[in-house]
Amino acid sequence: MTFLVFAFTCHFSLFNMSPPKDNLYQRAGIDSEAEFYRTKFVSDEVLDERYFKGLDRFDIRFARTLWVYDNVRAGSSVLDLGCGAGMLALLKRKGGTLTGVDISDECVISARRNGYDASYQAKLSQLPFPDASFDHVVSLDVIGHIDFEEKDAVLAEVKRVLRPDGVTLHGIECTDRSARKNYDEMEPEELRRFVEIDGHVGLEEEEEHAARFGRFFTNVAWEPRYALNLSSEEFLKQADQYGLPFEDDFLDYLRGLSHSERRAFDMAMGYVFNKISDLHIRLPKSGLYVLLKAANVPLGPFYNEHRDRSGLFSPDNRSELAGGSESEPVCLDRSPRVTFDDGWYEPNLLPPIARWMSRAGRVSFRSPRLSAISLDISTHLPDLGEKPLGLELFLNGTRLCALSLFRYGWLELRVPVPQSVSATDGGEFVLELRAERTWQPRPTKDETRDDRELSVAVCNIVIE
Amino acid sequence: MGVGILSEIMVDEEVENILAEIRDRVRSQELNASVNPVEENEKSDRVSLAPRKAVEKSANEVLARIDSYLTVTSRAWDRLPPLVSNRSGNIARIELWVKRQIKRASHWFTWEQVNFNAAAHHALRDTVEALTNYQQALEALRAEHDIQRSQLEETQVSLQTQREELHAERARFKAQEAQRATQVAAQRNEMDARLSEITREMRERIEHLQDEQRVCFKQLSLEATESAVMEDRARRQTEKMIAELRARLDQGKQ
Repeated sequence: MTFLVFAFTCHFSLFNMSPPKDNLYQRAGIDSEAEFYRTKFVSDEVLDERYFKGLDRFDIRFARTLWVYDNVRAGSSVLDLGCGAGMLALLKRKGGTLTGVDISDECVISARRNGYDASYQAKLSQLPFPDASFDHVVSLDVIGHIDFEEKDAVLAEVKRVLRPDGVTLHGIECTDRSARKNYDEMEPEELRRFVEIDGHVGLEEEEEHAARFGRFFTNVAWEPRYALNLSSEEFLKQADQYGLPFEDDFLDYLRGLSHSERRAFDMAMGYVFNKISDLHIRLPKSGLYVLLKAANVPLGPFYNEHRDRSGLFSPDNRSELAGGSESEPVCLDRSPRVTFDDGWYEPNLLPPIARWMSRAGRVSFRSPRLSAISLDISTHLPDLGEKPLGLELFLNGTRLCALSLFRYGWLELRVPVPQSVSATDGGEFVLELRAERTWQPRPTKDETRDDRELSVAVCNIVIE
Repeated sequence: MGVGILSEIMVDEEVENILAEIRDRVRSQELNASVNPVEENEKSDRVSLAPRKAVEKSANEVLARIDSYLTVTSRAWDRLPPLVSNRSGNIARIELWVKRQIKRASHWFTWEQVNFNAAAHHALRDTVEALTNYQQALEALRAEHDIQRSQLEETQVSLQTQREELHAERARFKAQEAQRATQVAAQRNEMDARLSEITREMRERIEHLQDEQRVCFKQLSLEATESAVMEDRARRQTEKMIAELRARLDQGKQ
């Protein structure tokens, strides 16, 4: 049977432990681990919590993040071990401080750019922090990438920097030795192919992980997860790269899904995942993935120990936007009191951080004053030279302006708001943009398929 | 008598033979001259060589004639003709006697004639020899001249060939130069166009980059403003909390 291992798209680049002479990376032909992880996992993905939409809590992509989110205490200090580009940036919504550590300087920069309070480049076995510095040490998809000889050193460091009453939380890739080959049994080429996919050189069974943590912590709890719930992208990856035996017609179906259908699939999967957690349903051992919690104090519930999701939602948008002074302009892009409706796609790359709009998009906000609105608009419509893109801007249903984009690049638009509009509706506003047409960036069936219906990218929406 | 007639007949035959020989030599020379191959590329020289051939021919003829004359003089340059008669008998005797008398009587005159004949013969023979020597010298000079001429002709041909080659080379160089000039002009035009294209592309990219930078800087500016607002708010809250704590402490002390 093909070696099957569960692996998520990693958002970290890992540790820089000086490997033993014959470590698995070298055997797999990977000379520089830092370079390997940099090229594989560093991205310009926008993970900044200020761009998180409440609805995304159901997305399977954020399922592990939400498990950590629901298990860290509000206002606590958290160390993200192997932070990558900053997949746990959402923890900032629970207050406290979020620190990242990673082997790659690029990851360190990305994490900081995504909102981490601090991030450091360091080896995971030599953390640059004093003893008992953090309430929580967390990691996602990291332990499975650590060589067996180094794991204990890393866990010892985790224990050292964790406060005595702290809790450490980890999402770890696993293997099933009864069904899969050990590393020593693999042929060199087979090993190279396997490690090259995600860099997994330290896969163990669920119990082995738990036992290893048990040598450092008095209390360890773990739950096998992700056997049932995978994103559509992960299903295809597991089938294509790790050879997991999913049904062919199901895989074909997944490959044919549009962007919005994939989003719906992932939301449903995430919803089920959350429900399994909420109902404390223990899944059978899968040999794929384990969520693990450990501490030297008695552990609370495995799920939702510190559940408080109020920070995930926009505060009551009846409360006014905060400004420094009366004349201070306010940017709507990152304000938690602003709601972007489903006409907007979440920003995905930086810089600059912009939201793509479909044919129409609305932004709801409340402000005691509104004399002008400015925003930056751009488009990548392929036929813009032949046919300009018509745009209309409405505020509370009143058309403020109409314009045509006829060149690429950013257009800085500033529209004064008539007093007749700004003085109405008690300070509640709905800004709406309408585009006359859309296009699909890459609608064909390939790995980079993007069949979103896009019109314009918008950012820096500032009200004065 | 009989001997005299016989010797006269022999002299005639000898003269005939010499004349026949002279004729054959002249014919053979004419034939040689007529069958002498002339190269195609020497057609132009034929005109200039014709007078020389004619002169050679004439000189040879003259020498041949002189030779033929010398055969006559060599035969009787040192004596008078023999006394012979075509008659017989007494008449012949009378005739020979008369002739003998006449010969004897005219000896003072005929002897001088013989001397003159001898002198003329020797002069002619020496002249022929000298002319022959001159002719041989001329032949040698001519041969040498011909060799030099042929060398000169070869040189001329070579020079002509070289000149033609040089002309061809120059034409080729001119063609290449023209072609290169065309290529250079085309390349220059292409480079100019490419440069313009690159300049335009660079300008567009710079504009695009500046555009992106403007948006990014604006985002940073807004973020900095937000951070300042948040910091200010946090500072105020902290100060408020400190004031409250201080107030509580004061209350506690009281």
